[in-house]
Amino acid sequence: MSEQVFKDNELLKANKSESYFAVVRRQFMKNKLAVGALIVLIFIILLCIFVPIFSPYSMQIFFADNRLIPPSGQHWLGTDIIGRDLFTRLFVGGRISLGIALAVTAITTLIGFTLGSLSGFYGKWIDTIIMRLTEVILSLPFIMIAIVVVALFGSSIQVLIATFGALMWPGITRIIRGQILMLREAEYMKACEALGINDFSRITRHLLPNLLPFIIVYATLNMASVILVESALSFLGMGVSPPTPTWGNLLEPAREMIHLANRPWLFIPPGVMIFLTVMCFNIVGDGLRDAVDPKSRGR
Amino acid sequence: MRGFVIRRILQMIPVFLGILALLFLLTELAPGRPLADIQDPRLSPAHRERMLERFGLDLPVHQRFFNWVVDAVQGDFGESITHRRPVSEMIAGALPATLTLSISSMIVSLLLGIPLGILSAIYKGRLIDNICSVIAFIGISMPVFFFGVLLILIFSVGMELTPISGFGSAPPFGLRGETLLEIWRDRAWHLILPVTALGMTGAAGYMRYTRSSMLEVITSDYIRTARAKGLKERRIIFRHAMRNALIPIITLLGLQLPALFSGSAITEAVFGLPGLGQILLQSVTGRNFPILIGVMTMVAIITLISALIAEIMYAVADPRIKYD
Amino acid sequence: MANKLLEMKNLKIYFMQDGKALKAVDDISYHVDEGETLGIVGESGCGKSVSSMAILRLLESPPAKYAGGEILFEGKDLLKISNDEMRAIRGNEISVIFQEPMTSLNPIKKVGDQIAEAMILHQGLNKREAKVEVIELLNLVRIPNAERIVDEYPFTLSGGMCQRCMIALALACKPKLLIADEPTTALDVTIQAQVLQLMNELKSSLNASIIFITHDLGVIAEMADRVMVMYAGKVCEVASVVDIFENPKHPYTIGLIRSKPDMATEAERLEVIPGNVPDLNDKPGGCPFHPRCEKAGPRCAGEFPPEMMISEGHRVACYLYLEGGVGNDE
Repeated sequence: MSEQVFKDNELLKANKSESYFAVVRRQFMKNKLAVGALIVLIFIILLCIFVPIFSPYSMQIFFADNRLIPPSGQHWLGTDIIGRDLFTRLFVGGRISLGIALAVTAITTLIGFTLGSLSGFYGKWIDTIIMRLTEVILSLPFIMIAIVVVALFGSSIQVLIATFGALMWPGITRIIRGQILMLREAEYMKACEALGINDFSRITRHLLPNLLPFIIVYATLNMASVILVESALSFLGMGVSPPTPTWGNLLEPAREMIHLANRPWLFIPPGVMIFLTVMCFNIVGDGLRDAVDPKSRGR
Repeated sequence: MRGFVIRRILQMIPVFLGILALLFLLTELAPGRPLADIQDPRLSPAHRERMLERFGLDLPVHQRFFNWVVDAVQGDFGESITHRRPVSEMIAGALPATLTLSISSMIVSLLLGIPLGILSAIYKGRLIDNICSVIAFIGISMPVFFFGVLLILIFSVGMELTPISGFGSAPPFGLRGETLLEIWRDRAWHLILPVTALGMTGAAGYMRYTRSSMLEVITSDYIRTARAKGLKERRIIFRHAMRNALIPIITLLGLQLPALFSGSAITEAVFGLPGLGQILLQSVTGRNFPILIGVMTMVAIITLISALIAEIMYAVADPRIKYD
Repeated sequence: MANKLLEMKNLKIYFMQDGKALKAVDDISYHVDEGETLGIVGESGCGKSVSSMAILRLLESPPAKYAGGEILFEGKDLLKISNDEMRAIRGNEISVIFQEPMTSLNPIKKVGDQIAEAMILHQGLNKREAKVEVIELLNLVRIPNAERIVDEYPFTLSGGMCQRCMIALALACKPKLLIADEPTTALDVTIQAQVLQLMNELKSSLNASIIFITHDLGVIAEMADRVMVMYAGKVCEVASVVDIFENPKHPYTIGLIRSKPDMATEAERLEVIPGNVPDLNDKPGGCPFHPRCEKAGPRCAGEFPPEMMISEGHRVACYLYLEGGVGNDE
């Protein structure tokens, strides 16, 4: 009660003297865990960009007599079944995994924003149809339906991105819809309506800036989910198919007993990379949410 | 109460039909027809026609959809194209492994997630809370297949404590007149690692949810009232806060089921369990549409029914929900 | 003279935020006599609720910090007793009526059970006996169909009914001190009047002391025997209800009374106090009211003025009434 009063006061005051962005950044910087995760994340991304460029090994060239070498000075993470350098492949795979995550996040955010705005703004039958559609997709187990789609349309990066895009939009759509329903009731939106400002510019000029923080938080957390599902699918052999590496299909040797029991270097590094990257995205996303939404702080 | 249930069932019908339509649409849009891959020289064009007719593949799209929905609603998903076995029979064979794995994992998740979430909320900002938060982050970020692989590596390969894969010991076992109890004990032994993998990664979500729900409740006005009455802290937590905080989790249970099945499919692949995920993966290579769609429909039905049950339980637990 | 039931001495409560202390209650002292009603008035955030929640140690700590002072209840310092002793007092000897009746009752427990809980705890009744008592109490607070209402959930009741239940809950163990924290603020005006009337009647029949917190001077005039005016964590003026309205001394009290529509009959027009309630983050030094005070002088920004006795029971903290005045040179 009284505690809340003080928090609100602080926020109000902060809003007066500095920009919203600055407040968010200040709040985020206070969260040491999130800042640490962001640094690790940037480091991983830089590795994915630069390792393949500077590596002396091509990810495709293989040497028949260099097969299955354990980690050594020459091959830091060893070589795979057909003699390719795994250190290079790990970060090439990272590029693909992160690239897919980025593309899918962009697609879902776009679909989510469009459908969520339509749904929240116009309501009625548009809302009913869109919401029923989200229910349809949400009642299907994601991995299973993705397996079916990939089975039917073949596994390529494009199919994978399209499938994830088509299946992952309900989450953000619902968030946007909820926020719009709330904002619509706000006084300034009513003022816009009274002033006769058209729907399109009301959505893009007035609602979008208010939704942006939520979209950014969602996008960060969504990166984590896409990496997880993409790697799971690739691990099952239903994702990106070799020779193109991703963190998921690099892990595939673990499904064979002979590798699992004797050659940990084949699958431990990609597993650790998936885990680390996903965790960093989750921590950063959580930190961002706390920073943009004071109500969620510490929750 | 009855009106409420009936209304919810009626609301589920369009969703269910939507799922069926989506699945059917997918198979229609997919390039490549079933049987097209069979390059058997003995298969004459006339024979091929007859086979298409036999599977009803010569009818126009809307009719095939209609026929299929009618059959599906009656539990008949057609015949597996490659196995010549009714799809429903194959699904029934795979259900025990999937359901045992999913339900036991869910129980493990709840038993771990809820108490830790409550503890975390009560000691907010203290050491316990920080440790729990880190564990939760690890749990939501750990891919279940990698965790499973690590578990096998440590407990099966390294320490040779648990079996590596399967839903029970190999065939001579189980055919020599073992009792049901012995068979299930053997299964439980095989399920320890898969359930640990799926249950522990699932616990993190419940933990975070419980914590935030609990935090919201313990800062509420009525908890202050309970304190002002002079109640002991333990009574406030267990009698006043916990019930209010846990009611929303009932709905979460219903919503989490699709994710649980997804996790189960992956876990089955890691541990070689003959569940729905496995027959799905096997049927993929043969472009075996009836199985693909049959499994998905089955899973959708289970999900929708569970969501309904969750909603009824929610309505029973929370007097604020009015049924009609 | 009546005995002092509760005496607060130099209480200081700070809220710790980012290593800074926000002085929500800044060195205040007051007392409540047996059987009397003390009204505490002030704008929101002036520390009136915080100081009274402190009596039952209901402030969440952290962020709240008891930075000093004593709260003597029948001679015991409530800030020093053990948690168990404190719990034995809560809801038993001292009870509270909160501002938001709808959210202050547990939404998924029956009203009757929530009231009975306190009786079972403090008076050792069993469930059946408690239920009989609860029905009696509900009748006392004029709830119609008390036999039926005991088994209702709070969400089925109106705000006024919920507040009557809260009053019943507060009275369950016949407390010696009742803290009413803006009990009528959240209610409609007509319901407000009914609840006030009820409280007034109960007050004379129960012989309990009441601390009545409100920002509404009209309510104070109706309820209180004595009035304390607070501003930004400080006490400005304490006087009998008659003195406050007929002979207000502190410029803030005067401002409050002038800005009250039906009190301002003598003034030509309704006046407002210029400026806003200060943010606790940068509270003005000295008398916190001085930036808004039309009579303020250089001295007001220095130290908080010591209390000055105007007459028996009428104290005011303002340089206007001290030797040397506000420090203007004339």
